[in-house]
Amino acid sequence: MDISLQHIDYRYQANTPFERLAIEDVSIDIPSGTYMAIIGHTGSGKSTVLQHLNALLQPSKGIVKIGDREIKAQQKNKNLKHVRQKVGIVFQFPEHQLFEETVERDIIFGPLNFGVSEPVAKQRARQALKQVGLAEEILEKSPFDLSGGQMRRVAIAGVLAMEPDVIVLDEPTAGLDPRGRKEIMDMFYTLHKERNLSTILVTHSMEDAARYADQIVIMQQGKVVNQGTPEEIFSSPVELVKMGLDVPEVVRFQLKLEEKTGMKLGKIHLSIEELSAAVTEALSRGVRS
Amino acid sequence: MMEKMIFGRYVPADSVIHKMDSRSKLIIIFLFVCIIFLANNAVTYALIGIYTFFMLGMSRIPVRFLYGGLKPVLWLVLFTLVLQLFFTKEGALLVSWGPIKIYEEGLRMGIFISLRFFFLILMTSLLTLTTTPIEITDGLETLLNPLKKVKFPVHEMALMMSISLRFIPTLMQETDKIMKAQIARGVEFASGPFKERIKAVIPLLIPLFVSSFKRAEELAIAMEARGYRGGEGRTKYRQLSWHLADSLQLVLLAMLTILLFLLRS
Amino acid sequence: MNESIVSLKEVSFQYDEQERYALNHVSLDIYEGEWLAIVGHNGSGKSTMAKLLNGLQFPQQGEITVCGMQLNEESIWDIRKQIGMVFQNPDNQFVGTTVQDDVAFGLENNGIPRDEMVRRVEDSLRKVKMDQFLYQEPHHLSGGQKQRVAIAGVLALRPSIIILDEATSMLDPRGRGEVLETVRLLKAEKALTVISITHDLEEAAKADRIIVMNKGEVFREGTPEEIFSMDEQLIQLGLDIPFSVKMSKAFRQKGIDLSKHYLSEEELVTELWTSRFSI
Repeated sequence: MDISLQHIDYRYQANTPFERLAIEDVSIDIPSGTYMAIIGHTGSGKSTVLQHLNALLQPSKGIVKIGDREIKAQQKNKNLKHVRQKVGIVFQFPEHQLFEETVERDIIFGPLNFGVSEPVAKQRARQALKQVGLAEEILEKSPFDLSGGQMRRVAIAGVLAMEPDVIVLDEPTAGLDPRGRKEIMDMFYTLHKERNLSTILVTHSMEDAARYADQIVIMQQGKVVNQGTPEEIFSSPVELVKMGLDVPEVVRFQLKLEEKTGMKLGKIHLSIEELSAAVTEALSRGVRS
Repeated sequence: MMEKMIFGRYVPADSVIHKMDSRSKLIIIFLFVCIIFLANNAVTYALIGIYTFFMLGMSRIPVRFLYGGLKPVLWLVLFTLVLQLFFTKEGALLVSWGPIKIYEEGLRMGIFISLRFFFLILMTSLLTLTTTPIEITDGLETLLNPLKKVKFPVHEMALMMSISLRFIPTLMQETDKIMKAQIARGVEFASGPFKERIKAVIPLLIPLFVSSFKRAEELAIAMEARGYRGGEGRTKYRQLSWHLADSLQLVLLAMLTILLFLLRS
Repeated sequence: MNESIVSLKEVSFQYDEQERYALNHVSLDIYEGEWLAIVGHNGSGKSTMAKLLNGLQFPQQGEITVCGMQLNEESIWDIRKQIGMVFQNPDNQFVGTTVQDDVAFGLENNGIPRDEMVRRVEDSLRKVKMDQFLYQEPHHLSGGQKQRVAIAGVLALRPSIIILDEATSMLDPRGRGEVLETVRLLKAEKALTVISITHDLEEAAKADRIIVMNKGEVFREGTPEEIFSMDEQLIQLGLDIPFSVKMSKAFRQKGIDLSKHYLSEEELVTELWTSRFSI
C-alpha cells in the first residue's frame, strides 16, 4: 500500500494563544515495500509525521494519501477503521498499552475490533507470538506478570496480529538491552522482507537507519531537510554533523581515517565488512605503488 | 472546550494581586465568602460589586479572557435568577402573563442571589487566576499549621497536593499517548452507542492505573533515596513573604466589612 | 589504587516470590575516586546491586560497608547522604513542581537552613548547566535536562559517591551525551566516585574499571581493555562490543596485524596509519 504526504502542515491547539506549528510543508512518498527511516532530534516533528500515517492526526493543510484513501485538511474524515487496520503502529514503550487479563486476549483485541472472528484472531495470536519469539505457554498468563522485555514483545504481537500492510515503528527498542534490541530489529526486518510490508522506522539510531533502511528522511524543526538512500544521506556527513545529528560509527571512522592518513576510499562504506575490505585493499595498493 | 476553561488556571501577569502573599489572598477569599452574606440591600450589593471589580481591575486579567472563560457559568447565574423569579411568591404582583407570575420579592431575591453567586465566582477565580497552585498549597500549609497540634497531617497533605500538581501534565500526556495507541488498535472513543463508549474507556483506564502505580512506586523509592522520611526535621525552601500590600488589602477588606455593617438594612 | 570506599562481602539477595537469587554471594570493592561501570543484560542483578548500596533493599546475607559505615537500619540515613542516586526514568524521580524546588527537595529532607539551601541549589544547577531553568516546570524539559536536574539534586547534598542506575537508557543520543559529559566534568572537578550501571558498552568504555554481572554473580572484572578482549563472550552474555573492537577484529581477519586487542578509535587509526608501511 502506497502512502504519500503532500505538503502537509500541522498546528497544535489551533486558534488558541498556545498555537504551535509542529510540521510545515512536509512531503514524503512511501511506495509499497519501502523500508523508510525517519530521523531527527526530539521535537523535530517526526512523531507528528508518524501520527499522520494512519490518520491519528488530520493535517491542518495538505493531503495525506493512504492507499486509495485521501485525508484532507478541513474535512470530516469518517470510517477510518479500514485505514487503521492496514497501518499498524508500534508506539514508543508499547507495553504501556497492555490492559487485558491474559496475553491472548490482549493480542486479539486489535483484530476483534477490526471485525476478525475470534477463532481466526486466536490463530493469528499464536502466529504473532511465535514471530516475536515468545512461547505459547504465556498465552494464558497476565501480561502484567511478564518481564519488561516480554511485555514489549506481547504488545508488538498485538499489532502484528492485525496483519497490517504497513508497519510504523516509533523507537521500538528504546530501553532494551543490546541483545533485545538486535532481536527486535532483526525480527521486523525479516517480517518486512517475508511479507513485503512497508516499514517506517522513526529512530535516533543512525546505525539502524544505515543497516535496515532503503530510504532515509531527515527532519529538523518541523521540516524535511534531506531525503535519499543511506548512501546518499551519509555521503555528506558534514551536513548531518552541522545539524547536531550523529553519523553511523562506520562512517565516522572512515572520515577520521581519511582525515588523519590522507587515504582516499572514494565512496562511503556503510558496514564494517565493506570498510575493512576497502581499507585493506587501499593499504596493500599503497605498499605496491 | 478545555482550552477555554479558566477554573484552576493560572494566568501569569505582573500585577499587585499576583505579587500578593498567597496567605493573605486565602484569608481574604475566606472572609469575603463570609461577609458577602451581610449584604441585603442595593447599597451593600453595590459596595460588594465595586470591591470585586476593583480587585479584578488590579489583577490585570484581560476582560475578554474572563468573559470567555466565565460564559458557561453565566448561564448558571441566569438559571438561579429565573428559579428565584418563578418560585418566590411574596410581595406585590409585578407581571402576570398567562401562567407566569412574577412578584416583587421574587425579582429582588433573584437579582440579589444571582449577584452574590456571580461575585463569589469572580473572586474565587481571581484567586486561582493570579496564584500558582503550588503557592496556594504553600499558603494552605502555613495557615493550617496550627492544626498539627491536633495531629492533622498538614505536611503530608501539602506534599500530596504538590506532587499531584506536578504530575497532572505528565498524566495528560500519558492519557493522550495511550488513547492514540488504542485508537490505532481499532478502538473508537468518540462514536458509537453509550454502552460501547463506556466499554472503550477500559483499554484507556487500566493502562493509566498501571502506569500511575508504577510511577508512584518509583517516585517513592526516589524520594526515599533522597533522604525523605516524613515532615519532621524538614526545612522549607519555598518562602512566603508578607508585604505592605498584603496588610493594606486586609485593611481594605476590614473597611468594607464595617461599611457593610453600617449600611445594611 | 585508592582506598576502598564501598565494599560488599558475600552479599546475597533474593526478591520475594522468586526462586533464583538476584545476587548470589557477591564480593567486591569500589575504590575512592574511580569511575566504575557495572554492566550486564536486563535481569543480571546489576540494578539490585544499586538498590542494596543505599539501603533501598537489605541483603539476606553478607555485609555492605559504605564510607567506613556498616549498612544497617540505623546507618542508612547517614549513608544516603554519602551516596546519591540517579534513576532510569527522568519523570518518576522529579518531585518538585519546578527545577529549583526539585533540587531543594533533598536539602529540605536533611534540614539544611534556607540560606544555605539557596546557595547550594544555585551552585549545583550551575554545575550541570541548568541554572537558566530555575523556574521551569518539568514537563517543559527534555529527558536529558531532567536527568541533569536529578544530578544537581544529588550534588546539592555533597555526596562522595554517585550511582547512575541506567540513567541514560531512556534518553535520546543528545540527552545521553549531555548527561555523560556532565558526569565526566564533575568527576574531573572533584573526587567523586562514580558507579554507573548500564548496558551501553560505549559508555562503559570510558570508565576506569568494568564489572560484568551475569545471573547474579560477578562474571568478570577488569579494565575496559581486559573486558573487551572477551569479545564473543560478551555477546553471549547479552551485551554488545564497542565499535572499535568490531572494526579491529575485521581488520585482523583481513590479515592486518594490530598490536593489542582493544584499541580506541584514535589508536586504531594511528595503527592503520603506521601499518601502511609494514604490510
